[in-house]
Amino acid sequence: MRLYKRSASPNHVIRRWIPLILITAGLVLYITSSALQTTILSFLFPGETQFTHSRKTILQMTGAHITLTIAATVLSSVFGIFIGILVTRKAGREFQQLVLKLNAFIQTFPPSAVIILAFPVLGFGWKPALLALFLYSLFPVLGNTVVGFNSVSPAAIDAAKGMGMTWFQQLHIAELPQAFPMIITGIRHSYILNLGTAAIAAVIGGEGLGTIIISGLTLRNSALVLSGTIVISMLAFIGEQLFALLSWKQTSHGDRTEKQANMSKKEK
Amino acid sequence: MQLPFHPILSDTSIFLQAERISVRYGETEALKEVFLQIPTNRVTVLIGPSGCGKSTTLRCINALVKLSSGVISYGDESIQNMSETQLRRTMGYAIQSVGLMPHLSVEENVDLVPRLLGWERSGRGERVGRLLNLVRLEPGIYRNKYPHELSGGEAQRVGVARALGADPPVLLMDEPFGAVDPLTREQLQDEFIRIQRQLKKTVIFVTHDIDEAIRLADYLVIMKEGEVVQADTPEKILSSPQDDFVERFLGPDRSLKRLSLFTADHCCIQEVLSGLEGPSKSVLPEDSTRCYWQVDEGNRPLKGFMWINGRLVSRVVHSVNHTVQTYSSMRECMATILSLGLPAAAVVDDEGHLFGEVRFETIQTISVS
Repeated sequence: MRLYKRSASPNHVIRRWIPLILITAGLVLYITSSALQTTILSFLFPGETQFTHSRKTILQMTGAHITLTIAATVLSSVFGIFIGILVTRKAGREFQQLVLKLNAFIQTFPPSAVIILAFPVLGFGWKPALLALFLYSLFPVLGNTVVGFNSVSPAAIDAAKGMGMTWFQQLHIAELPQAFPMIITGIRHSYILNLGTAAIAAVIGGEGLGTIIISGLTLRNSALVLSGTIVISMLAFIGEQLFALLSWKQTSHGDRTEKQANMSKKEK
Repeated sequence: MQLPFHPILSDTSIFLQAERISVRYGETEALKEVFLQIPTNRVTVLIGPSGCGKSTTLRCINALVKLSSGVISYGDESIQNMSETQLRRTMGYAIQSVGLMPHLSVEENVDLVPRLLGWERSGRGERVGRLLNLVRLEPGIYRNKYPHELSGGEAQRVGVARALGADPPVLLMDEPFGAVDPLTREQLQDEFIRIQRQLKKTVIFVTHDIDEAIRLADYLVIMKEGEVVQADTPEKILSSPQDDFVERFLGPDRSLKRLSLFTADHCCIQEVLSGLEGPSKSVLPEDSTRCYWQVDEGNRPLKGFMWINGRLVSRVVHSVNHTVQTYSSMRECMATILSLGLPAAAVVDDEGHLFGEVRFETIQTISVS
């Protein structure tokens, strides 16, 4: 008999959650206690005297950073999935190549270039920062959404139509669940991208953790740079873990059969 | 212009009628003014070489392909006036590539059309169980499996169960057994015949396999280059093919193919000699031309005995290869007779009980008649 686990055993679940909980607890402790920051940083950099930013606490900067990152990711996910669905429908298919090419083109821009190019056009402050982040991270979601929908087996679509699904049912019963793992990967990529780019956004007035990193660089104070970087890395790790949990739950039973994916299209 | 006339089965009504339907894709004409009548509660098989328009015809019937001209009427109504989704939900649809939703379990796949129709949730699980039993998949084992865990044959059985999901009056099947190995295909055909006898649906079946067509069809439609060449019962088509094309399409072994038209239960002798022990002289005297079957307590055949040239020949029956089902074709009976080495084969019912025997003389009579 073939054994098949639909849901994971409790052990498995715990193992997946432990690192996530530990890192989150570490993050919360670190950002809320300036004493802890000073202790750790003074141990690593005994020569330095300043371990915190002069005007803002790490907590404030982390809050701004998370807000900016999540807002940009949510915006780019909503628009990316929406446009991605449009260009994979019959009516919007002619725009698909354009979108994919634009995606490949934008991806070649380094994040810092995006922010610096955005400055003269969009101005200074958190709004332009958000707009720059949104535009930049739109394409990973959009590109993956298109690829996800294109990889849905044509046979499943034919069967869905043939059994009398409406346009909307075909989308949400047949296609979206099959494209979902790919879309999640796109959102994850967009989140990580935003997390890093938001640090650079400090130069145009984004008030995130970039503030402390940049003042560390200006003051030649490695402790300040590290302090900001630690928090960003922990945020990246937590995000990765959460997305991994999400897509793992979705795909653990949904592995597409090679056979079905490779089935040739029917005689037309 | 006179409509081409194709005789329709006399013992049933017309379920669906296509009048001068044409489909054009740009320059190419996939269907050219096809006239077609589909008999109710019978299996209509559309057959022809690739590109003859058989799949297109099928896809016109559930509006997956739009007609360029012509009318398909379903009862008194033209399908062009019906809602596409409502129309399709009344038609079971099974295709060669199956098209199971990879992210849904077998149960959820089979349950899709009832779900679309908004049926009451209670009783649907039980219905899925009944359908899986019908296609010979043990619900306890298969219900919670996912499509990637199924073999090609199993997936196709689930596909058929799904097509039957909401008990539609009509089934559209587009080369449903085309992608499985020959052995599985034969099994699936057997199952199809069994299920069709039980359910008596109106079935429209597309295939390019002439043997499959002759076996399954009550009404056979032969197509070529977007036109219907001949439409009639398989018997009629085999005995009087309309033209050279049909004759070549049927192949040189027409008389052998005719055997596929008859099933074992209609041709077998039901009074057989059988018993728990081997044959005694009184039951099977030396001059007897009959066959004797030794059975177990459950009336399942174990051994066959027969006097051939003054010698009592016995053959051990291995249930799978050496017996035929009640719905097996006479062609399979002949193969079984040849492999068993006795001039008769035991016919068993669904549970494997001895039902009767098919004799070689019967086959000879059929093939010359």
